[in-house]
Amino acid sequence: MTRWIKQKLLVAVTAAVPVALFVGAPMLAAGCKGLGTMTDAIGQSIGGSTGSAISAAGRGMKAASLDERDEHEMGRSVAIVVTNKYRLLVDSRLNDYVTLVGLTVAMSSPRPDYDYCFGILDTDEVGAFSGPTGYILITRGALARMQDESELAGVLAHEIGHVALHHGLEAVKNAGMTQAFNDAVNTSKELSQFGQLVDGASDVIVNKGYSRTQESAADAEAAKYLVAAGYLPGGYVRFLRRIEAEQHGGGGGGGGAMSTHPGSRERVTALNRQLADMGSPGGQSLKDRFQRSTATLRRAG
Amino acid sequence: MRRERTAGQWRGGWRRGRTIVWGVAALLGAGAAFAEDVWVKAPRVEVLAGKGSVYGTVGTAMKGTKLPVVAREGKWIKVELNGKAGYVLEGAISPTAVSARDLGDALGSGESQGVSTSAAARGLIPAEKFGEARNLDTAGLKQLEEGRKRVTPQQWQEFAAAGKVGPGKPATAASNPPGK
Repeated sequence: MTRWIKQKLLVAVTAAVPVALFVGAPMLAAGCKGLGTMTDAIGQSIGGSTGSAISAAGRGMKAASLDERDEHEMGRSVAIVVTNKYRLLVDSRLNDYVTLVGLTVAMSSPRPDYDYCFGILDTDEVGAFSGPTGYILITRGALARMQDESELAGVLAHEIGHVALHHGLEAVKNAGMTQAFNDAVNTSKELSQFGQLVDGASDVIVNKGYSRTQESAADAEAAKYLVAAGYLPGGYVRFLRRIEAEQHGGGGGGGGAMSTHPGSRERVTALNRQLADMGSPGGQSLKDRFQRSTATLRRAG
Repeated sequence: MRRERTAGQWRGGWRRGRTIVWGVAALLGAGAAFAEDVWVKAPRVEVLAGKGSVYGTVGTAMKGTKLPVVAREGKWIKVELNGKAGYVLEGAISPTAVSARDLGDALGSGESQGVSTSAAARGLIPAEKFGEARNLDTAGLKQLEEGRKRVTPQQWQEFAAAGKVGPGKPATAASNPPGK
């Protein structure tokens, strides 16, 4: 059964300290909250975390002085959590293709300096995740519902948008995680503190999700990145509409997270308005290349 | 036959010589002005081999490190690190000297704790230790990272060129309204 997962992996870390963290973010097209069984599974493994006080340190989380190695370890840790819940698809050619598309968008974003990694989760569900410093995962189910490269670029651009906008960090801050981060950093070698931060951050991303405002902001960023990269931004809109139609048409997309987040239509409307304001930019859709590169998915399915 | 210079000729020669001396000094001064330096203000910065992480790194510069500027290319600054040229984003550096000790800005709280190392330098936990402590398999992470390493800069450049996409390839006017 198809489920639009909106997961968010995290990010977070912060700034309050020399280290700081940042980013992370999730994706997806639809809403931001519970993601059905996938989400539940992750949530169970994570325990909630800590927390309190969003202090001045928290307000500094968006400061530029973030230690990217520290953030990187946060992102890697979150990736460990997710890849222990969902098996990665073993298809190096397909994974390389997703990586190449993702890098093309990422290099056209405001943060081309992050060390991005892209992977495919071996599940029929439809979704994507992003973690600190650009650990971005998309599901096989999402890929299988795409028709061309501009649609894939759009979904990845949305995730990269969350990363660039530090939405994961904001999520952690808003959830009162700042104290956990401070504790982790100030007792830098205390694994328990670090683990608590990773757990808590993942919990925020996976269970609580991003706000509708953040989703819309990531969409707006995605449109800009797609235009900058030369992809047809309308491809992303088309994909969102397709997923929404599946939800409302009972084609496997109903229920679950999607049913609690009926915001896709609004997002499509907002995106269409934005693209109209941008002069209805065109771009590459690259259908043939996408079909060739993802042929193994259709043979398997 | 040797011509004797008049006093006026001597004065003219002196003026020309003085002009030349000042001209050379001005050029030297200008040269010095062009020798721009910047300082790393983030706790650490990866100096990239090209304009993007896809190209890999030439090294890492810690906060407070002075980097000679080779050129400015939009949001990218081409700098020199240990004799190698590389790129950093302008947001990671400062045009004025930054003390490696002052972590106040890094803290974001305006407080300085008078320490010179980041949490990373002090040993913030690597992800593998986290995984080990939680009894989580790190094979997926390894697979992810190995997958990224498989893609070379040349491969990406060829991919982008073949599709006519990538940085600097703005979309053209649409023939159809978006989202249709």
